[in-house]
Amino acid sequence: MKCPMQSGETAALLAYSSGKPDAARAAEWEQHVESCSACREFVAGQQAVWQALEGWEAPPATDDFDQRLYRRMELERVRPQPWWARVWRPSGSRLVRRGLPIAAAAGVLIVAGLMLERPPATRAPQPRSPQVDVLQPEQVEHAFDDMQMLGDFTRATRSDAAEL
Amino acid sequence: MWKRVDKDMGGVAATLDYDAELMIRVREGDGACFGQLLEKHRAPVIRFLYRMVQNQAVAEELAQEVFLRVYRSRSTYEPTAKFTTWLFRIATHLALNALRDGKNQRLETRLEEEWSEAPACQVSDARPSAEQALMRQDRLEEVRRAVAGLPEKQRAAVLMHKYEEMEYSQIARALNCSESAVKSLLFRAYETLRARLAHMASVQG
Repeated sequence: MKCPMQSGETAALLAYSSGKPDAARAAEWEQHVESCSACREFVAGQQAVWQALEGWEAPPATDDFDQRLYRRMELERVRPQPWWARVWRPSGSRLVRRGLPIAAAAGVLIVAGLMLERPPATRAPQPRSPQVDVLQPEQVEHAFDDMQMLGDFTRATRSDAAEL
Repeated sequence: MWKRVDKDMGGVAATLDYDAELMIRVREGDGACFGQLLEKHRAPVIRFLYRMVQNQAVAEELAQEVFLRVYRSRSTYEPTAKFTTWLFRIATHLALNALRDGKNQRLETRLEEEWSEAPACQVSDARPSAEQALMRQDRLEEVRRAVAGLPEKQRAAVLMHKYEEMEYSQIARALNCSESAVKSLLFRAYETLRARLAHMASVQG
């Protein structure tokens, strides 16, 4: 028999440790565990775990458990749950539970698709900046002033040259 | 108690257990059958939830919610799986949600008080000496902490495997995962528990 620790048959080893081995292979297991120290250690450790867990008892239900439950059931009969609570309960219709998230995801995809596919809006011609309109005559005036000044300067240099 | 039915569900002939038959009768309006289901499954569900959240008050509150959900679902119930698997699927779902919401944290102090005040109800031996009782209480506390230290899904898998003796396929359906994932969860969980509890073998003798 191949060592279950190496062949990955850990589930079978667990079953053997809990005293419930595969009946057909019980003797084979017995023989292997006796000869394999790793498996022996596993089985001993696992048996200690079972034993430790067995000592842990849970307290019984309180006496009025059923009464409280039937009272709540009666309350629900009188005041039924809102529709969304019925739809979302984990034990509710599988179709609804599986269908709603898919429908929601599909909705998001459709909206995203529409937004991406929408042609970009044609850009309206930008109105000319009012600041440019205001400055333009000033700039023209400056240009005229500059030309005037250049003309004066040229004339002055010419007259100086003539005097010389 | 098992019965083979010819009813075809999604192309697969299902094996219907007695509890599922009771649930079908509940669906048809037989309230007494719900009482029978409650009587049979009340203790295992509370035990499982108690070991999951480690608080009796929270466990009972969750167990009430489990049975309420079973009752609410009666009209849509379809026996696609063993009734116990379905029941523990609801219980596991609620327990995992409660743990994630930190619902049991609010009662942590009460839990500590519960443990210090009422050791007798946790101990199997009826009349141990004071020293034995203390030792047993310590060991129990160690077990409780070791189980509480497991990741939630591993904890649920161990509790269903060890205490409810559920098969891998049932645990897989309850935890909504594959059988190989359950095997892996259990292997890792028991590995952790062996590391933490194996030394108790000699003490328990």
